[in-house]
Amino acid sequence: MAKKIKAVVKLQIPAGKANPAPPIGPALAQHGINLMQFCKEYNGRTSSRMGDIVPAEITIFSDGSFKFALKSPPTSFLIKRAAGIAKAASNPATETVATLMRDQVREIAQVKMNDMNAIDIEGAMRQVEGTARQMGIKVAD
Amino acid sequence: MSQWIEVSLRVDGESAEAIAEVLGRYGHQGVSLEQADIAPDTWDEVDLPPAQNLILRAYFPDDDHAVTTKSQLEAALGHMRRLYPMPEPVYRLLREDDWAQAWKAHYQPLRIGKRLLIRPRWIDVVPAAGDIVIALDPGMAFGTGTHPTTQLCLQALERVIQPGQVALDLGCGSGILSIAAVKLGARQLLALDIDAIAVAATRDNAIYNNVAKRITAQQGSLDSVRSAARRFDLLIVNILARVIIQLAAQGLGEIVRPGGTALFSGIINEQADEVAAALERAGLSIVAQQRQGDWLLFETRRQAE
Repeated sequence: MAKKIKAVVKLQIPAGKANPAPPIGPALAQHGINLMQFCKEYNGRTSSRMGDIVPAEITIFSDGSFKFALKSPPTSFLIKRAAGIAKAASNPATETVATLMRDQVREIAQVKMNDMNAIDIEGAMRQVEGTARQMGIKVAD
Repeated sequence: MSQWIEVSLRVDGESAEAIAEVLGRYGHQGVSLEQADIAPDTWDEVDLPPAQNLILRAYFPDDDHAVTTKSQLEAALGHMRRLYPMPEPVYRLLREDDWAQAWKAHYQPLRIGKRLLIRPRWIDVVPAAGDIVIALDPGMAFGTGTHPTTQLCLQALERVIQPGQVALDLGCGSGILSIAAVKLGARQLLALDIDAIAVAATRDNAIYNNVAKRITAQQGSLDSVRSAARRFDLLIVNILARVIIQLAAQGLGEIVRPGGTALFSGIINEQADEVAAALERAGLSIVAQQRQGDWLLFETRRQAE
């Protein structure tokens, strides 16, 4: 019989640098996961991608075991990198800090496609555009 | 023990990404997104729960900057709220102890290799004849014995150690490999780690296991050994593929006595070729390799001069 799921936690953390400090420690320890084992495993699998944010989705089962999968970097991280900015707008309602070209939006949507709920690339692009707007980044053709 | 402030927000799947970005700006090393409302005994690996609502959590230290951080975060969320309705964030204080101890409940004694028995210091076990017991409190340092990379090293140590050897454990973590090496016959061992927490854990565990006289634990890395021009019969490196490659380019081979042995672990399969090439360039020939799951250990020999 398939194992029952107790919790699903996604950690958006820097590749290769996992340690038991927050957010990993408190987020996983509450589910009884061996922190250092997770950190070792995560760092080993992501050390070649240092500098990126590489999310780990951890599925915790009711018997206390867990498994995890690496996900594509957060949309906001890809947007910032494509736009060449370090920080999003502090007030996205009034402030525009950068402009993304539609081709860049398409590239990001392609990277994120597998992890998104979008049915097609257009749907994924709309989600990317939405996130960009909330960060004070305009999309241009 | 230091204190942290947890900020959490319950949001829908659609806005989670953008709000997580805001929290990530102020949170220490990232954000956690936990699926809310997972009914017990309902979902399994085949039938996954839908990610409709998420609880976002970020943490910042409860220090002199906490008030400023909190007000900046509030302002940023306030701006977001004009684009997107969302609840007020919830704050709570957390002590490091709260989570540092929690996982210990799941840490159990385990047998590795032919004779090694690793036990948490808070659990008593009756060893069988010939068992070599290592009692461990890893604290917040790497090395519990539960991960394949550590197990590969322990098994290799059983095979390669010669009585009386002088060894170096580079990246000693909890001290598990240092203690095993000495109990298996190494005469003297230098345990190095760049992390002060690891050095303290190794010292503490060495004392508890009555091997403190033979283990010197110090904060440092390859540079400290190279500047002292020391050479070792046995080198143990259980870190990460990327770090091993960097160390290999910095003269790692030279600290192994010609004819001496060096063990490398923490290597994920896909980076094995790159590590192997780096080690060969450093004058370390691969004589054996062991595999456990996706992880690999290289046993190497320093070419004689």
